[in-house]
Amino acid sequence: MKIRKIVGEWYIYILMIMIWVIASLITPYFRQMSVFMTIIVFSVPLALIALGQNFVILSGRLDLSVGGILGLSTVIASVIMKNNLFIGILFPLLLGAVLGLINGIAISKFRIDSFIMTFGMMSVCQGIGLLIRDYPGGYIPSEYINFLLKETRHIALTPLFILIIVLVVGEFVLKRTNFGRAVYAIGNDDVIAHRSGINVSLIRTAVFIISGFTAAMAGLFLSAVMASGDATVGSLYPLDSITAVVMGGTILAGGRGDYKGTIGAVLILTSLARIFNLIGINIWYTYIAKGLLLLIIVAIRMFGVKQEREEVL
Amino acid sequence: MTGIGLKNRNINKDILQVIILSSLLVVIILVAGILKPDFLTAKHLITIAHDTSILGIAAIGQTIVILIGGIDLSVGATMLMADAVGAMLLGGQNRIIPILICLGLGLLIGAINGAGVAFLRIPPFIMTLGMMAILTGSIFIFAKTRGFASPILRYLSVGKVGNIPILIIIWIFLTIMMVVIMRLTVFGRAVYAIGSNPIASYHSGIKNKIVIFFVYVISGIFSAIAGLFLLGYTGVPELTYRGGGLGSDYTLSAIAAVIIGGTIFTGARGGVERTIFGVLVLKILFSILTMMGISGSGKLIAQGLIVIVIVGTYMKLEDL
Amino acid sequence: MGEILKIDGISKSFPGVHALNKVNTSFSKGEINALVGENGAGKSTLVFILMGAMKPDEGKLFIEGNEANIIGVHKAKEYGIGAVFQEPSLIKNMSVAENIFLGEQGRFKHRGILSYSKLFKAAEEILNDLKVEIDVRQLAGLLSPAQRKLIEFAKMIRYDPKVIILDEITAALDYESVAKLFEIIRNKRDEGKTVIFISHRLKEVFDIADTAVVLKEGKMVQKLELKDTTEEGLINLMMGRKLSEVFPKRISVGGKEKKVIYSIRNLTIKGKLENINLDIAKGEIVALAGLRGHGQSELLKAVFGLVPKNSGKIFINNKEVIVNNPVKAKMEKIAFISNRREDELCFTHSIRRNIALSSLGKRQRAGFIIQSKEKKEVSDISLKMNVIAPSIATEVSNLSGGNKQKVIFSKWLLTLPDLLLCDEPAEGLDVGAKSEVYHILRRLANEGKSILLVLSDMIEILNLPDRVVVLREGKIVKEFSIIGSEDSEMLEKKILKASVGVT
Repeated sequence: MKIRKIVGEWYIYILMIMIWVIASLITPYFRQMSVFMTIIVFSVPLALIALGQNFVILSGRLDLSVGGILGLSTVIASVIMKNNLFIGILFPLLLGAVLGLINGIAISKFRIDSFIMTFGMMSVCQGIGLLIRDYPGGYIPSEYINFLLKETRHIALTPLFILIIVLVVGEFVLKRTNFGRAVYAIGNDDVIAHRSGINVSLIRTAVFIISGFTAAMAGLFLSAVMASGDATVGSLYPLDSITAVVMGGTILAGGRGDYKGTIGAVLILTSLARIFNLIGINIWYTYIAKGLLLLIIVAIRMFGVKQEREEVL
Repeated sequence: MTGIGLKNRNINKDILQVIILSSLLVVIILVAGILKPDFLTAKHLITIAHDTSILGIAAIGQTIVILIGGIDLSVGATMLMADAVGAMLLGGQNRIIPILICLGLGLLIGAINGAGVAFLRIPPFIMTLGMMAILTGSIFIFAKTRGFASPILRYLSVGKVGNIPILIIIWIFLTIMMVVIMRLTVFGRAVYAIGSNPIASYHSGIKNKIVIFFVYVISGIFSAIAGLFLLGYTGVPELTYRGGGLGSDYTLSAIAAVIIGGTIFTGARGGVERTIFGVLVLKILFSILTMMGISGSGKLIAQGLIVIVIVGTYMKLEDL
Repeated sequence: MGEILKIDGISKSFPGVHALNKVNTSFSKGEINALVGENGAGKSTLVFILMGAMKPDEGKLFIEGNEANIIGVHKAKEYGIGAVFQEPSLIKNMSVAENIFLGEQGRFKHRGILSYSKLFKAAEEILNDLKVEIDVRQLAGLLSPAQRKLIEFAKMIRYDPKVIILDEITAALDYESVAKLFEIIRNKRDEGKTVIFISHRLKEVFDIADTAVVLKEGKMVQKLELKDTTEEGLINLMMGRKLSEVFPKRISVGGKEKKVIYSIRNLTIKGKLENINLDIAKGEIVALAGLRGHGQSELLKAVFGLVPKNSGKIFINNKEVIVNNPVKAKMEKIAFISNRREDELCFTHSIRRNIALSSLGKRQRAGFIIQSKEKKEVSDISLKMNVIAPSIATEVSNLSGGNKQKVIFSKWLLTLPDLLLCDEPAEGLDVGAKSEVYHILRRLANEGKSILLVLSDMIEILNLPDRVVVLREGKIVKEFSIIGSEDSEMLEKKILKASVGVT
């Protein structure tokens, strides 16, 4: 019984270690620090976006606009940073939060379906991004890039710190603050939450603000990696972040799950891409692997979870 | 005690929605006609007819999936899969077997989706998302040789009867066929019932699992059909990847068309006939924007805003 | 003592029903008031309004003489009003402790961050004060219905509200729990608090309350001192008519051969039902009684094939049948109506679609529905069931509760069932609709059908079925044959005793 509980909570890390072990046995390249660093660096944007997405999904909704906000952030950064680095960082962050706020209000007050609203927002953001910069370009200051991506003794400190901080903050807010507990409550049953005095609209809106903000952060990081701004770079992130969140143990309907699992899933996804690259497997196999892994994990979870309600389907 | 409030709230809302949509359509066309008189010429309308029909066919399957309370994110991917595989197998020859194989492929993809959703209880979003990822990888690995469409396929996709493109006729025909099935058969009733209340349907002795399974099969087949006509229209397979999952622009456009048409996500209301409106609104608006010289970015913004505004209006209707 | 709460002209409507209609009444400090009325009389709606979970369409509330604008549950708490709602109000995937402190978990800090150990300790303290023994770390979803109610009570009482509202809290509780609860309530009254106690168990009402406010069909009937009336008097006020008018006559037993058609043998569902053996005869109405949540609903669902069983067989006319899903149940001519109308109807669909749903296969040709046949059969059965609506195209959401229930009955009658399983068939309906349902059931029984019900309302238990089977903790503890039995007060006592396990 106890083992089942531990596996249930940590399966994603068990899987991750297994993958790493197998990879290091198959190819000598994998044992190098530089490979790990690449994984860490490339995991950061997805980990950031998945944090916001995790909050949204836990509350019972979806955010498809994260890709658009990310792309828009890179574009704005590539335009403003040339003149003022500080504003170039601040403005996208604020914008991300404001866009999230718009999402949140539309979804909680006007009750527009979250799929539709965030889908629309994604188009709008990408469109605005393309208006500003219709092909990748712009200027990202090298001091900024250095700070974020510099390696000290082969370890990329900043990205590593970002991941650790994000993990700690995410878990902390979700498990140890009223706000986080309220998110779980709403995801489970918003009527009961409302009757218990929780301000459902406020929390609903807040999670979207968080999602927009983390998407902007991801964009700021990615702009350093790309050394440019690209409005369309975010198109894979909405679905990938949802994949990571669900793989990591959060239920799509909300109410159950946590962030540490999500980060584990992010690391797995990034690792797979890297490993396939190293072994020389066609990059397109990562898509197949991603899809299969997601489906297998969810299918197993469905079998593992005891069906207490009566058969519905 | 008798009822208070509108006697048939939902049915009245339905009628209102249709009125709004048709008026919107008329207004759009008129405005377009005024701004750019060229718009209403047969020549121009025909250029958008093929794209519209292809999207329309794919949206038929998506409508039924959304009606039953699910979603199919693999529509675009299935389309492009059928597109590429069709091209590969046809190689420009008039053969029927490759066509059947492509349709079979759509059926298989739909069946896997359906099995995952109905029997393994994997949420539709996840199941079709995973399928899309798998297809995205597969197509670029396996669809190597380019190939191209057969003459018959080309003819069907590009040809006209009088002034009307054959594709439009096919689209309308398929739509009518599905509307008949959805409105007049036991299967159609079951789909609406499950979409409205799966528990009540199960209690009433409906075989939920089987119906849901076949709905995804249907979606897969329609996606494959749309993909084949896409091949016929462009002549060569579409093998460029624009990110966001294979064929995601088709998928998301199809979903947008269904929603704009008035079929809502909870699946209780709407129908295949409504999707025609949605497809027309989407495509005509796009075409107007193109004509007005608005670039791709502007179109994206417009698409996003339109979807939000229209659905927001529908939500306001719900509150009445 | 002074007046604490005044309800002035409160009205509230939903599509299809006037839930509350200009209700005027008041409550004083240091009083235990019963709020009585049938299901559908508007009691729960009033509770929602008092707790700020719903806004009234018109009317005012006054607390200690001052007008109170109760918008939102937190406001109600500020005003000193607390309630335990009738529907389950716990988050299943959270621990008991978190549920008790839902929204305020962060109060328990250790060096600045939420400390679960402090949270658990505080929750334990609260439960200890109430003498309740439940593991606070457990997930609320794993508790029994009785335990959940106690936690909901703990969750409310810790605010020490001035007005304590309890909506059908005893329905699932054990004898000892009820006794403990009543002791706490009496203490609160002596402290000057006001208790509004909602229950359909009139024995309890007379036991605990000082006054009773009677609601009938959304309107305030009367407020009276309980010492000035009797159970029957109260029932008359609640129903507005005599019992004999509400319930159909039962055919007397004498000489009537009981032909057993349905036999359930050794039915067990782990954790819910244990070794159930039950026979149902042709034309018989059998009711499963006992405390709520002791396996009654599960038994119905098991017979219908809705939930899997660990063991057990079902025999129809001495032939074993395997029923493990509703499709097979329908084939064996078994029908089931659950106690939640939202699980039986597609609200956005028309009456016609809903009624036709269970019997689509009977009116089809090559998969196509024979429209004329459907229209006719649906119209005929609606007429027979007295469904009142503009037409069969009317959307079901517009109908009153009674008519909705009649639509559900119509749907199943079109499948020509021989066994009807109904869970609380008349719950939530006004007295006219209730009476119609009772008459429908008796008529079906007289036509030879077998009927197995789950009932919790004592008035129904004593007046509707031919036989009562009391379940306790999933086991059959006693059976009573009502026809030709002794006076109802004795019988009521016996049934209650069997329900709570007192021998």
